[in-house]
Amino acid sequence: MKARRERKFVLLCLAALVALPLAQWWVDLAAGQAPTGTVLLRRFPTVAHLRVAEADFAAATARNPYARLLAGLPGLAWLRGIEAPVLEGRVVADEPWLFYRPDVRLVSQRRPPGTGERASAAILDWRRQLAEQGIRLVVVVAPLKPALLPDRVARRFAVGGAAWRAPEATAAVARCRTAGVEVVDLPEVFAALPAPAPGEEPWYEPGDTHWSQRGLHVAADAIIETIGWARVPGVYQVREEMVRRPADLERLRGGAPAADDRPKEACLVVAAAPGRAPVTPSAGAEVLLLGDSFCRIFEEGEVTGAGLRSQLAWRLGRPVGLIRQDGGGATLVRQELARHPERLHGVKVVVWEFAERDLLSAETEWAQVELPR
Amino acid sequence: MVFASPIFLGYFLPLVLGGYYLLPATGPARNRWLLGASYVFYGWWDPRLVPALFALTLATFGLARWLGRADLAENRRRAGLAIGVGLALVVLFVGKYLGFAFDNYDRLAAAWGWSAAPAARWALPLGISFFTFHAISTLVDVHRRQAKPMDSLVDFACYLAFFPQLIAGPILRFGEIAPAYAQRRHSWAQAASGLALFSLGLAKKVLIADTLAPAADLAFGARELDAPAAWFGLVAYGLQLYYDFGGYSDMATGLARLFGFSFPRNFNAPYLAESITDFWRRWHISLGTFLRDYLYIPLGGNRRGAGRTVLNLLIVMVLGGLWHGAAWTFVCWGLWHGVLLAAERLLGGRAWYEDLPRFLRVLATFGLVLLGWVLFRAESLAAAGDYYAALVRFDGTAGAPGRLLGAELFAAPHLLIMVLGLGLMWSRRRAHEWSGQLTRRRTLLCLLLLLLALGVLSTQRSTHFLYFQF
Repeated sequence: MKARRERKFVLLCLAALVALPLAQWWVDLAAGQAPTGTVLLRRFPTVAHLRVAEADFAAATARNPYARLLAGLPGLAWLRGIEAPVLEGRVVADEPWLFYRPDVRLVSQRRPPGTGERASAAILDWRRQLAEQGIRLVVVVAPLKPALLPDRVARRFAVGGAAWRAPEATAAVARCRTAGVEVVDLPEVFAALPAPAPGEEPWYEPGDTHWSQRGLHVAADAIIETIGWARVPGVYQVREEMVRRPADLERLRGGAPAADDRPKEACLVVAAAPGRAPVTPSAGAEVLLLGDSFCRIFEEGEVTGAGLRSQLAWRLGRPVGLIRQDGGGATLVRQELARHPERLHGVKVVVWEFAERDLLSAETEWAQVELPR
Repeated sequence: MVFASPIFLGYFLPLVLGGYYLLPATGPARNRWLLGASYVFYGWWDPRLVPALFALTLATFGLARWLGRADLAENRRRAGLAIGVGLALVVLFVGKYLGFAFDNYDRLAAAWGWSAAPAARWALPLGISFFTFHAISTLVDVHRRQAKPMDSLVDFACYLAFFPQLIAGPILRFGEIAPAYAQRRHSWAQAASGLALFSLGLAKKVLIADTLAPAADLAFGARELDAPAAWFGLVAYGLQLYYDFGGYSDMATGLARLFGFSFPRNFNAPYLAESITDFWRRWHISLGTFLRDYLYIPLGGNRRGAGRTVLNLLIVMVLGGLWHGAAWTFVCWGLWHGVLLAAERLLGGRAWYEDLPRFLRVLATFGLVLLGWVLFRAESLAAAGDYYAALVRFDGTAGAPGRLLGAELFAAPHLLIMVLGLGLMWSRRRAHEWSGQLTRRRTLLCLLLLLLALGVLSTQRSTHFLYFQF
């Protein structure tokens, strides 16, 4: 009896293990692909090839139906909620406030020595190159949500309402200012304002990593104040629209409310004044906006013409060009501009927006980008 | 390749196991197969290191055969031992400590205006601390005539490279394990107990250690830390380390059983120790006995008076600390334990809190060990100093970083797993014996734990074992 049980146990354990590759090969063959792992037989096993094979195995496992079945075992989803490197972490604070876990860690965790130094070096170099072409640079730092609203992360740990600033970000901004770069330091701007009263629209969307319309207007006003140009009247007009938008953190968490269930937001949509050209064309604009997803919000998708580019255009009374890359505010947008230097024709001011996250994250690349002369 | 990864569990292990049992039980085929598998396992990390491992194997095998000759004069045997041990230590020094030595030299050079050391630095070759110790164990045991050298190079290479213990031990005494390479028994019962122990180890690693790892990482990487968070993080790290390394040892021992070997127990409920002396009888037992038999006793042990005993303890523990890592934090960690052991030795082999009730003695020992783990985990002595300061910071003035840390750190899953970890740790069940007496309920539990662990592993990157860095 005991011997039979032991034999059965051994066979069941081995079956549990062997089912992993068998399920994978079944999926691979059904898709007309070579079975996972056979790549090892076709390549000389160098360190690089082995790491690639390892990544292939990991990626294949994530699609493996047997592995997915096991991953659905009761309790595991809850455990993975602690630290889910593949599915991406999230921090659910007090509903409906959500925060992106890596952003929270940029506040709570020490940063490596030299954080922010590569950023300020790249900014100074970019300013020099633009200045050589007679173009002014205005740098805009978009706040990190958990640093701006730390008390919303978890009510039980909230003891005050003040925003917080990472010293590395403060130092990077200070280095740029000392060198003469015009910086619209939005964390500083927001921190100086009285916090929205309960019931008022907050600066940031509870379920999103980005600002609300109210926060966006604060940002646009601060940028216009720095640019210092008088408004050209009669070019644009605004109208209020009530719109529903999906929120990125709600989507990331999964189980996001259906679009119809989300509350409507009031947006100021910018349009051309009667008899004027539409807002969108930006060729020949004197102001060029470079930025990340903060420039996409309210500008593309469910609502258009209400984002940062449009708000700047309305306040200036002039068209504003835009080069945008989600998550690429630090380097990708500059590389894009370097590939299309014609976008600088007629430009007098480049407004370069990037997230405070980019100043603090060790993963952000701050490449030196050469602008063609 | 790590045990807790789909590639090992789903591909490597079934393939090696299947091939092993298809080969004839008699003759050298199975050991050859195991050797090939072990080299693939090791080479998976960096194939260029396999020839280096084989070269050390060849040199040690030749020297051991020479030392084992009955007609060799004693002075030549001593010289041969010195050469062999020296060679293993040189390999260990170059692979593990040269960069550390260069870094320290560079600091002195900067202060004194000397020229800098060569810029050569390389990653620590995986498992170097273990296979060099196995080589030393071979030479010493053969020299002491406690074991005969192996006749087969394949068997010896298999001993040095056997994949279950190659990367993170346990450290196997040559004299104790060598006979198994010539002859060993296989049975369903042994395979079942091996798989049960392996499943328990995998669950310890994946379900407990990896769940607590973020809590420890958060606390040790925090910008702001107060006492509750610091203690929480420290306990989390203490448990993570135990379940990570203990889990690895269980997996290694379980795998060995699958191939007919019997590894000694490497942990014996270390956090139930009632003194630091007791702790070192329970924690990483194979390292403790290795240091005792191959270093402490040759230094004179406790036979040369109290002063020399204290000195010997300090030397052994500082070197033991350095063995764990080429950093001053590990030296200080070894010194911390050396001082505590010496103090207990001077008190007649008892802790200064010996008169307390047992529960408090265990708690006091756990606390002292935890304080040592700060040095073990911290990136630098300065960081360790900051952490010690945080352990007594009760002012409650944490700013936003501290509050955000708390929001993540004191999460319900962390608390629950910590309670589970403490409960299991202080229970009287020992995986090593528990897995040897399988009932229906135990087999079901092991199977369930295996499936749960596979479920977790299939959705996250494989995590390395803490002891791989040593």
